[in-house]
Order: sequence, then structure tokens, then C-alpha cells
Amino acid sequence: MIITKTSQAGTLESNDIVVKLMPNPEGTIQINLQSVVFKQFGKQIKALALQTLENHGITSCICDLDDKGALDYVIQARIESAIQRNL
Amino acid sequence: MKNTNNTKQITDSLQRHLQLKEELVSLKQSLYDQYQLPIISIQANYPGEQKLNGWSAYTVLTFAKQIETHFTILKKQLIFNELGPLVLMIIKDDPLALKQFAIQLENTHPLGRCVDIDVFVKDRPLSRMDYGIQERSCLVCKEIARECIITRKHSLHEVTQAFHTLLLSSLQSIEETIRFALLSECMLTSKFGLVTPLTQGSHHDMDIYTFIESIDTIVPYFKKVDDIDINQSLDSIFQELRRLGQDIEKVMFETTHGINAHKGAIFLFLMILMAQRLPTPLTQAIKHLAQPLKDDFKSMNKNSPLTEGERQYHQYQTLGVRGWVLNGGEPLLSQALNYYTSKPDSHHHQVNTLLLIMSKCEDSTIIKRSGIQGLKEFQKKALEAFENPQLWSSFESYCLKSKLSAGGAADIFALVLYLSHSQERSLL
Repeated sequence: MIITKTSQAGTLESNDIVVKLMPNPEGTIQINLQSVVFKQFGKQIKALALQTLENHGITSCICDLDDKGALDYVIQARIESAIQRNL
Repeated sequence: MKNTNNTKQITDSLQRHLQLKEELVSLKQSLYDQYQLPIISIQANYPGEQKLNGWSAYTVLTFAKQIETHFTILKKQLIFNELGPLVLMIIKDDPLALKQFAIQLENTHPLGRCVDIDVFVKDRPLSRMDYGIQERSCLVCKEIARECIITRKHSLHEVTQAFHTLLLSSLQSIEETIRFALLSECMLTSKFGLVTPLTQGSHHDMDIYTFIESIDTIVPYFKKVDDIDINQSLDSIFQELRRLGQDIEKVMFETTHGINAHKGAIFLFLMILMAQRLPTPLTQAIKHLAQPLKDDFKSMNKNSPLTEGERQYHQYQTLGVRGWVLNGGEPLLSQALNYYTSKPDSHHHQVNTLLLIMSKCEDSTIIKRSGIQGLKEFQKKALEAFENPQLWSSFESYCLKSKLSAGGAADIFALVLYLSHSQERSLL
């Protein structure tokens, strides 16, 4: 599935994350992460985001993540909401 | 199968939390758009799913008061939902000064680590990092809180205990302990017809705000018990207490516009506070202090009873709350206090303490609604629910259907919480 419009989920409150999905002209999945815990958990968060997108059959999108220290299941749920809102 | 259900439940409740969080941000956004002023939000860092309770409410309201005494509040809103109690305030002041004050409170107030005070401007909360200020430290180990949360370093139980310990050690006066006890009572969410933060129970004329405003009004008056001279006759002491009680009732009714939120609680707390000042053991002291109440029964006029309690005395010969204190609150007070203090504090245990009291208390509010037979049936059902939590919801429906609300049991529940956490002399 290719993301063809913009959708968003989440907040910038503590322990939450803002997920923004947009079309990617390159036709690949591109994840841009900003995180208050980038140094310690940046790699893990990116991997989790990629896996969640792929599990939902997404093959092309730009995924902007602005993370304020969200737990993994919150990250997953926010990405899923953003996907739902894109349908 | 059981596991699947469990996972599903957690997912639903997580979805609800996430949705509420988005709605909250939209609300802040629309308030900001309307007023063009910083919005402060105060929430407790209470862990786990059950975030509505006395612990979180006491924390949030304590800090709301701090902000109110230092800044000009244009509008204040108190919100209760699954995210916990929340205070939103629109403030006519510089956002930077506000954020600095908030950070100072979080860092230096004894309860500072239990609270999140956010300042919202334009489209986002101001962050400590914007000012290059050190991150919040963990409730349990003082490391950076964010990292402990993400790595799940501490168990839910450990964090909950740390919160409780901090709060209890911050209670510096009798009034603060009473405030905490009364808030814990009204914040309890499984209540069997009593008002909760989420429902009005069996009532149409009062809600959680009635109780919180009443608590705010009455609590400061309890320190006046200390002004009563104990070197006079017990009868004179009692008459002074009664006058103080009438004064407190008057301000309560003014605040609640005539609704009886805490009449019973005022009576019980005054009796206990005075008894704690007397040299005899607490139960004895309550009994001695209560002696003049016997005269109430003698002087009651059968043809024109004054109060509901007096009416019930004539109809059923029940002594109500007067009889209860004439017995020093026993045996129920010791039983409930023993039960409450026997286990680590939890929502479940608080609900069961309330049910235990409901199953034994001769509650005049229940007698008023459904007579002596009704009280017996209510007590029996409360006991069944105490023994089997699966019956909580059917007991709740029964109370709502019969419009029952055990206000007397709720007063004793608050008293038990006070005694359990009071630094003063207790029963145990």
C-alpha cells in the first residue's frame, strides 16, 4: 500500500509522540525521527516504526516522528491511528 | 482465551487514553486560540490504569492552589476522566515566568515529583529542554524519569508505593490529613450509589464539584478544635464542639447552596479530633465526649421531631450516628481500620473497606429511603459484594435502582482513612 495523502496522530505532551504520514515520491519508506531520547533509543524507535508500517502493508511513505518519550506500545498505537486516518 | 481478553482490554483502555490525550490537546489549543494567553495544566504522575483517586486529586489540587496564590487566573476548569484529575487554568501572565515557577515547584515542593505542571502556548507545551533545564527525576530512584519509564525499570507496585510514601510524608498538619481523607472518599470510583468523579450516583442535586468545594470550605475550620480548652467539664467541651459544628455546617451550606455534602463528616471529625486531645484511650474518649448526646434523645419531642435522625428514633428506636459515637464507634471503627491497614493501599482494598462499613453501619440515609427492612437487605447485599467482587456491579445496579446512597458509611470511610494516616493518637 502506498500512502497518498497526509495524516497525523498523537500529541507533544510528555510520554507521547506525534506521527505524521505523507506521500513519498521516491516510492520507499522514509522515517525521520526527532526524539528526546534519540541517543539511547533512536535506533529501536525507528525499527519499531518501520516494522509497524510494514505489518500494515505500507510500502511507500514519509513518516515524521516527533517523540516526547513515548513507550513502545504508544508509538505503535499512534502509528496505527495515523494509518487508519489515511485510509 | 483469558489472555486474549486481557490483551484486548488493555488495548481498549490504551486507545481511550490516547484519544483523551488528543482531545485534551485540542481543548488547550482552542482555549489558547480564544484567549491568546498561556494555559497551565496540572496532572499527577500517578502510575497505572486507576488514576482517579485521592492520591492524584490531593496532588493536583495542592498545586492548583499554589499557582492560584501567585498568578492571576482568568478561568479555571477541573476535569475528571481516565487520565486522572486535571486542572486547566488560563493565566494572565508571562508564560516564561509561569514555566519557571512551575519548574521551581516541581523541583522543590515536597510533592513536586508527583506532579506535572505544563505550560501550553500557541500549539505546544513549553519544555524544560527549551530552557536547558535538567530533566525530571524518577519517583523511585532519582535517575532521569523518562529513561526509567521507557526501560520499565520499576514495577507498577514500586512506583505506586513511592507516590504514596511521598504524599503521606508531605501531610504536615491535621487539616491536610483530613483534606486527603475526604478527597479520597469522594474520589473513589466504585461507590454503589454515592457520588463519584464520573457519575452522580443516586443523586440529582450534587456532583463531585459539590464535594470538592465543600471540602475546600470546611477543612480550615477543623484547626479550631485546638482552641477548645480541655481543662473544663466534658459537657462544656461538648457544647463548644457543637457550636463549632454548627458554624462549619453553616459555611458548608452557604458554599453548596443548601446541599448536605458533609454534615455527618463534620460531626464525626470534630468528635475524633477532640477525642485525640483527651488523655483517655481514643474509644473511651469518644464515648465520654458523646455522653451529652443522650440528652438529645430525652428532650426529643415525639410530636415535632426536628431532624431525620430524631424521626427515625421515634419510628424505629434507632440511635443513628449519635448511638454510634455513644459506643465509641465500636466495634465497626476498629474492624474497618484493622481491615484497611492490613494490606497495601489499592483501589480494590479501598472499595472493599467501604463495602465492609456499608455491611455493618446503621446508615440513616438508607433507613430514610427504605426503612429498617431495606437497611437489612442493603447490608446483606453489601456483605455479599465484600466477599465476592464479581457482585460489585449487581450491587451498584441495585443501589442505583432503589436510589440508595450510603452517605453515613461514606463519612465513616473518610474517618477510617484519616485515622489510618494520622500522626495523632489512633485506635490501633
